[in-house]
Amino acid sequence: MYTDDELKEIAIQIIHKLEQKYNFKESEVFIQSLSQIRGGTVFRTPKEFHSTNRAGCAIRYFNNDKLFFSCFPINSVLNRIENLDKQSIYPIESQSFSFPQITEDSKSIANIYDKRIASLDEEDFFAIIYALNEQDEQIKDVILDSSVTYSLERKIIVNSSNMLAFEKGTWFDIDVRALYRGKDIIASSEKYLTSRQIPNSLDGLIDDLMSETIQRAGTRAKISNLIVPVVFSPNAFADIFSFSFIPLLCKNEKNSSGKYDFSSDFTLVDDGTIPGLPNSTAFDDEGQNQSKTVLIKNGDFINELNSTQFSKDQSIQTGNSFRVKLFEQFPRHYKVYPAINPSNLLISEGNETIGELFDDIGEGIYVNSVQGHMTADSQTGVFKISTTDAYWIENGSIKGTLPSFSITGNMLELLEGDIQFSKDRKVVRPRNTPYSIVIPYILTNKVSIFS
Amino acid sequence: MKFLKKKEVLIIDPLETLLETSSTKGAEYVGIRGGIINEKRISALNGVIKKEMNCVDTGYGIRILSDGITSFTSVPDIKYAPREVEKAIRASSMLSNWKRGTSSLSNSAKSEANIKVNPKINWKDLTKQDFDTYISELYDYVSEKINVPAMIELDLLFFNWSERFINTEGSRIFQEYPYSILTLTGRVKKNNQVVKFYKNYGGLGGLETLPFQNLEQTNEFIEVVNNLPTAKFVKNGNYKAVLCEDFAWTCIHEVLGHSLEADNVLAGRSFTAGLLGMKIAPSIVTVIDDPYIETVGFYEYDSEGTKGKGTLLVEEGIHTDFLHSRETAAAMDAESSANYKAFSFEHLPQVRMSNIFFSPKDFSFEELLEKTKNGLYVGDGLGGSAETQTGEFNLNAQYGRLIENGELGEYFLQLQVSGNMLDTLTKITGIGNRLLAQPGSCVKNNQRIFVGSVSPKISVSEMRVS
Repeated sequence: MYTDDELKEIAIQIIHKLEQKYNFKESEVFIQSLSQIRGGTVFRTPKEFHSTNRAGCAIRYFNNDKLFFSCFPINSVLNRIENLDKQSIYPIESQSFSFPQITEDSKSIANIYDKRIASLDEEDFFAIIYALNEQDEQIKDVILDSSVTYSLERKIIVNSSNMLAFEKGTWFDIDVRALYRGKDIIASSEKYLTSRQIPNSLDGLIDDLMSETIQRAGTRAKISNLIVPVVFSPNAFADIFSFSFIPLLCKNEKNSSGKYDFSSDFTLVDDGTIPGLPNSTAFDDEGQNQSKTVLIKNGDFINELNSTQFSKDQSIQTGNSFRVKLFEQFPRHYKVYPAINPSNLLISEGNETIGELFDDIGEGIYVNSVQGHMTADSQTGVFKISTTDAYWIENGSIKGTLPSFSITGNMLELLEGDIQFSKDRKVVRPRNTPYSIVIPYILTNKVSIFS
Repeated sequence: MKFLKKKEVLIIDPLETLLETSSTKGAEYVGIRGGIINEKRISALNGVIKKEMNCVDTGYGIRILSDGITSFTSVPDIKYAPREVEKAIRASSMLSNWKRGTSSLSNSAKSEANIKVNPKINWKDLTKQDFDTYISELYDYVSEKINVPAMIELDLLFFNWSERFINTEGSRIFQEYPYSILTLTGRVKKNNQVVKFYKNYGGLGGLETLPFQNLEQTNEFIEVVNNLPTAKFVKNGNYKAVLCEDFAWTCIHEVLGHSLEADNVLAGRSFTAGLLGMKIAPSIVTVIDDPYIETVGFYEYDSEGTKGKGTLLVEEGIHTDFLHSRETAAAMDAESSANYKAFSFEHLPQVRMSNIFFSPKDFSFEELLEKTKNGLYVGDGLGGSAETQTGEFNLNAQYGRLIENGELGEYFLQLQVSGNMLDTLTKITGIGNRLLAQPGSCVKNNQRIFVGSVSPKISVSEMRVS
């Protein structure tokens, strides 16, 4: 694939052409190069091996004070922009803004790059698959399927500030599924993990998966009381929270935020500068430096996320402009217009462990995974979900697995109520989203159960 | 080495050269797709154009079968392909040294085809004045008939998809299709909250597939938007129901359709595995997948050069077939149904539906309502999720309506329908007599493709609604 220097050179050639041929006063070139390898096993046989490579660029420019946007493949961009001014008929409606001043090309965030991933070496890669397979063969009655992806992204932004921002980042993604033959049913569970480096060990992930799968195949229980407290796992709550609340944090959402009276225990921070977290990056996809932004403090909205384009006050920049493509293996794509998105969200922790929360409620429901959350409504906060893995709790411990049932609720009301957060938190990247959430277990009485 | 003749100059054909070099490296099979996708998106709010985006994407996807292992590589420039092919073959060899590869391909006829569908009205030929006129006329028509305060969004997507496919078995196929989609979205206030309704129009072709020259097609959209401000919340419960075309399609596509994809069957993710030849639905239920319906799911050849054909999946309630690629067909001793598809050269294709639908029967809409008597009309789908392994589903509808004494009554806001597909199939009581085809899309394993939302209305004796 293109070398780092080739990509930088192409970016500079494009910006020069935009300036010299068209005399644009403000223009921006964003280049994404993505290389991935992926493989794994299914029913103890090897899955297909994928090696995919992408290289493309997006151009934004102001022509007569009007903003335009187009995308091209790298290998033909210099030819294709010959008629750039004739390709777009309509400008993008936008307030007047300047692309950010890129000041440092050497700024970097620690622990977001792993040389072993970046080498995309298939021998190293398969060593992980072999190791997972060995674990699989050691566990009786369980089949362990896996899918591992190494990703190397290089992004370059150059704009009329005539400085170039360049960053290399790596991701390690693993999906594992266990199939277990229990007493009278076959149970399966899935888990996934995203990290910026190859983890030292996957034992914790596999152990959690195994215990969950075996638990699912265990004694079945019934919901004996529909009005009981519900504890959501970090994964389950992150899924619901992502689609029923997070869009409110973005400045260009249609609903205005700040009118809520959330629990004083609820604090929410966006921080793209924490080394090693899934979406930490030196600068966002407009070239703006990342930052730490306290969004909700002790229940009060105090800040919103923004981007250079959508920031009313250009002096306050949170660096949250990302080119996000949902429902993709790699959730960022150069072809998507930059929009406001979180980087890494951190929800405040509570004082009690998950075990203590279970003890507190005595009788209730523990929801480990859900489906249907993607149609939640962030305007109203209303969500309607079905459980895919839930348990009945009695005397502070899990009594048995529950068949699927529906839960309805309103995230805005739930966060205003008597919500409890656990002391233990997990880093979750909700499916189909580009950000991560550091999130505790959640205990609430404010949802309705429909069986 | 083979050559292309272009403007009387002989130039090297890079795809043929790559195929030739790849096949000398020990691969049993090599298939190469070289694609170009051109897209134009235009968005307008209340008749005023707010955004236009143009994208061109080109690249190559190479699928290799070596040592019984399938590998795939994609590159943005063909100059990088030989190295990536070597890497893929090396990976196959490593894997087969570890575990014996079991992949193979079912037999397929060598195909040669050159297919180009031309739009009647090509978006590339339209001027700014043309777009301005079309968009303003549509907005004027809609806004005049909407009698509540509403924001009307219009999103146009035109794309020209072309792909050249060659393989080591001698197939040489070029396909070029234009597709067009218009999404109309209406946002209205309900108790100080914004609620919305959207509807898609379009299919295979150019601007002529959209309602610009037949504005009455938007009347249903207008009626729903007009009724949203007074719509109520539905009460939780089990209802007799009539499902509109789009929701019936959402249901069959998300739950039954994905479970009929043979790669899901082989991966243990299908509740229909083991039910082949068994009665899974009442005799009025027949389910077909057909890529020749002229929707955004139309194609003649799939992504491995197999000629498309309709597949009878459920015949009079009996499960008769699965959807196959050549690889799943070989594994299950079947024939490919030409359903191996990827939208972009960047991805290894998967087994996908094209246009899956319930075969229409005799019931008019009025008869379905009369048959249901009292219950719920479930409006257009809003997606959701399903467990293909168990058949459990959880799907949202954008709106609903009360059915009272066989007549449509008051509107309900967004609602959710959940249940188990096998159970739901047994509760189908009637199937409408008219197929409606609209644009749809489908995501499987992080790959989105466009498919047809094709279905008649159906009635069911019980659905769990919340």
